[in-house]
Amino acid sequence: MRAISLVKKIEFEFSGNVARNALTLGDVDNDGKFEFVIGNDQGEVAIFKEQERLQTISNLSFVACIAVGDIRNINRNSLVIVTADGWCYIYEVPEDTKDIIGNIRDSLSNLKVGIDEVEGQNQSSSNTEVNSTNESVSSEKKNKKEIKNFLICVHKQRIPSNVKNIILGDIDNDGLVEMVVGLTDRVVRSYRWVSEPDKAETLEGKLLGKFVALYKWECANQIGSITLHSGIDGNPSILVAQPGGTFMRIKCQTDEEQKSENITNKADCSSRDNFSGSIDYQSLGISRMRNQNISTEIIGDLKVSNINQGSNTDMSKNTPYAIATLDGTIMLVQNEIILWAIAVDHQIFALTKLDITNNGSDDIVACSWDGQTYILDHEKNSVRFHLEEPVKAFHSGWYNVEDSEMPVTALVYVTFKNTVIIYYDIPLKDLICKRFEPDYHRLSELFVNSNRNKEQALEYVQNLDKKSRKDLIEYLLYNS
Amino acid sequence: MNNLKEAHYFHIPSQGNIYSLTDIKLSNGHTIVLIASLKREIFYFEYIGDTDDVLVPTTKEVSFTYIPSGAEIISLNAFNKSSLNNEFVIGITFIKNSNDSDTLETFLNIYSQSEDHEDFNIEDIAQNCLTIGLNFIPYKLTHTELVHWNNDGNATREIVFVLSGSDNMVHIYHEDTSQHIYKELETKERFPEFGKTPSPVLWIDFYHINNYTERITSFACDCGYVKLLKIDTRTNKIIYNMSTRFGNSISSLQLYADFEKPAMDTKNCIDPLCLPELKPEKRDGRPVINLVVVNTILPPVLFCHVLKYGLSDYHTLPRLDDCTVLSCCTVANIDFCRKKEILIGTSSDEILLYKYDTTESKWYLEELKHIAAPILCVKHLDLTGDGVRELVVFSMKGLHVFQLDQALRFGRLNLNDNAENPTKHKVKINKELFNLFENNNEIVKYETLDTNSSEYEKLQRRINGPLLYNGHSKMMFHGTKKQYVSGICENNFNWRLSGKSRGHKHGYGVNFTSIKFAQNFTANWGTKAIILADVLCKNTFMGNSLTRVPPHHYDTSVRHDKKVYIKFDGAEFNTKYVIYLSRC
Repeated sequence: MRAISLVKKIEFEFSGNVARNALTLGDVDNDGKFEFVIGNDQGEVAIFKEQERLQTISNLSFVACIAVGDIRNINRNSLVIVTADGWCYIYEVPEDTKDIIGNIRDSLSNLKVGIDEVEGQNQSSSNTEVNSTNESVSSEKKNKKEIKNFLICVHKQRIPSNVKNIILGDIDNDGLVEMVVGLTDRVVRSYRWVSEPDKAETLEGKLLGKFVALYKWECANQIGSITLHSGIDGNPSILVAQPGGTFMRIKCQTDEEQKSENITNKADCSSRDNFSGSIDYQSLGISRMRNQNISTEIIGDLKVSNINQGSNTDMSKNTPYAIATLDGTIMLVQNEIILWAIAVDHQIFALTKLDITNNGSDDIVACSWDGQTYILDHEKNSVRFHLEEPVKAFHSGWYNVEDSEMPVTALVYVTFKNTVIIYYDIPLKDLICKRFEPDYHRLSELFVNSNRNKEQALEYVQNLDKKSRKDLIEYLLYNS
Repeated sequence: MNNLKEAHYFHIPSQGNIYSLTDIKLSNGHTIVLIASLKREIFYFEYIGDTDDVLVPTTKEVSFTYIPSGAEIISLNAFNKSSLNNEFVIGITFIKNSNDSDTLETFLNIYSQSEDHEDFNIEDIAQNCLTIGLNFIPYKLTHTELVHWNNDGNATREIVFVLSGSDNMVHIYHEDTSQHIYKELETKERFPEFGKTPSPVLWIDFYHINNYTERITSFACDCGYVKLLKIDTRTNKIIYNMSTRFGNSISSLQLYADFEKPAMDTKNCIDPLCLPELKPEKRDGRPVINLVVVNTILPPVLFCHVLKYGLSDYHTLPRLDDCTVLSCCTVANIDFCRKKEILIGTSSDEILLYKYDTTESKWYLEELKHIAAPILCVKHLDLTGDGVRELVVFSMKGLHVFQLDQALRFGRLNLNDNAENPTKHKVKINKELFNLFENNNEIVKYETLDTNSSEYEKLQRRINGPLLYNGHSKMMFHGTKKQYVSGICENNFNWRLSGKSRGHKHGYGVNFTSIKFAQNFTANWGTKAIILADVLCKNTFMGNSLTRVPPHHYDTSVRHDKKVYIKFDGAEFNTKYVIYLSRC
């Protein structure tokens, strides 16, 4: 298997134990740039932006899950923190402070212009110029410090304790984002944010609104991970990984007729018991062969690039999903048919998706406890990267390393040495390496002479044996 | 080196050293690499996958016999005795650690194939061993050709092992074919260049010229003593002998040849099937031998045309920082322009690429490539067997193979044309355009701009005129919003509008950047517009946000990493193309 080494990395200090889902990459402050958020068992949550720690939220309890998403459905991202003892927090950047910061920046730049105009009058003294720039830099820095601690708690709510997984997403195809949590006691619950109508949105900095519990499902076995997946009809479903490489699928959208039914039900003032979803267990083909108790990870909705899809249009538009088990099996599944499976001799504990090669389709990124990371595409091509250190939590996604640059791919490792290592800008354009194939038409131009016409030359070049072709290319490239 | 991608990385369990990598070129054109780690493991790396073009890297550990457990490998070398078949001889030097700390036993083990086999079989070679006990600590193990001249003027060439040691001597081992053993050769007679040196020899390099009648030998010692000699192989007399002394330890040196006569032109290409028979000298004129000396602490030094000027015509290659140790070098043609580049590996995980600037006739540091670990050895070899060479880097952690990026493939074979402008420039531009597609972008439109503005006329006059800008025109990108394009086309860029949308971090002017960077200045949504412009740029300085007029003699302000160029004079840039693109 091809392997690579990675060079570009950032290391952050972060102590304490980190739960599997207590880290994420996302745009927390709604500035279009991706930040990194991580929480530990001491109730400390740190937000890292670019190359420094931006903010530390402390005095929470054991942080179990962290997610970033538009949970309030206002087209702005919020940070959702769920602790193991059942507190759910929402942190946000207040909109008005952003304006204030903007104003400060504007005034600062005005100030700079002012200095500059003064400079223009006596250009001879270059020393003052240096000083003034230093000043402006330092004031800018001060300003930066001032705008720290910019995420504030806007909501706090009690939910059942022992949460271990979280996803923010539209589970019932209503266009609104819901929160789905998986609990250690084999229960999956979903919530929706409901703001109180006919009132001001906030009161003394706290949001008026709350999470309303929608549904509760109980699984037969321990939950590995939960993920969202779009079915053939485009309707989303929740996939809950179950031991032994199996999963439970929950469909919770309401059909049209049922909706009308609901309305009539509502008229009858019936309870919320209008759930019309369906649940099915999938024990994929070869599951008999596997250890029934092995913990399982699942990731859904792997994006497929248009080019690849063109080749197999007979398959429905359904996207594939990936399943990995702790004993080292990684499977790609589409329509409940295992497309391929590979077995590695490392214990895979984390499964994420990321379009590392930037070709439009998501690659599967799987990480094992000892730091072996496998990057696989839909065609089973794979690349390995080994962090030569044990890993306690892993995540992959996009991250902004520099302010002015585009976000880059990132692999995040939380090690046992109280550090977080972010490898960024993963230099993978292809997962497979190929031999150089010369352009035969160009090559044949060299051989057109009185004896050979164009076609003959092309034929001659194409029929060269391997060694002489290699010698020819080497000669053309290096003159040797 | 930006066009190199990491094709494979192989991690070794214990680190190697600067002597523990060797390449083996098989008779069928394949190249494989042998690496040794300190704790006795020797690995063999090759690319397989003959059926289709997908390369499969394979590594396996080879257990060489008669290397006791606990032994530490120092150096490794291999050569092919035959020019047609695979008759490989592998030499391995190691220290046997015995329990009494005062006795260190050192050995040279020589492995060779027991029978004549058509195909190369490393396992077979590893089992057939001849051991030579050494009474010194071995250092560099290499090989060279010992030429025997017959009375009729014909030469037979025998390959011998050359090993330097802690006894400040260089030892030669050759095969006694009658008894089938390896014996030490008296150096004085056949290799008069190796006398007693002031300190152990760390590196040796040989180069044969004039149809093997003359041998150039150069070696460097631990104390900084470098010697260069020319020997007549017929009489075994030293023709000349030069030496110099550096103040620090020399980690590596390399003799390499540039060819005086420019390369052949592709129009009269010779039939490739008879290429191997042509000697480099015949094809390319007389070689110019140069010597690169890599100092561990001082800057590397290049001695040019040592046959003519000896050690007097030298260039010092600029160092990047003073606290790294330079460990190895290779001379290779990385970017396919005519002059070879010098690559130097350092202990601070970098490879430095030095290029020769023909206009200013000096060497400059063109590029820096970061590797994951300190570098021990760099080689430029064709491991994939496709004719294109890969950069093989042996670092403290393992072996890295860097392959030329496939994105360049369309431009590769026309790189040898004899046009005045190096094609590299074209390729670079094309490659940058190519990258646009890779970022999920779809090029909507690509149009050539109307070039009849008055400023264009001025620009043309400046480019073609006898003024100072001759040859300093660059193609650069400017990202903007779609609605501004027509205005820019009519009136060229207006530096007076500087800072209106994005500030002026490096001065009040028009910014030009690489394509990746330009996208930051475009609209975040919808169609982006990127303008490709000709920019004249000669003397650059680091501007700041207050710069309105460049200092005297300067024309362009740059960001510290040269990613952004700021121009202040409207007659020094001109729009050429506009590319509209949108995210898929």
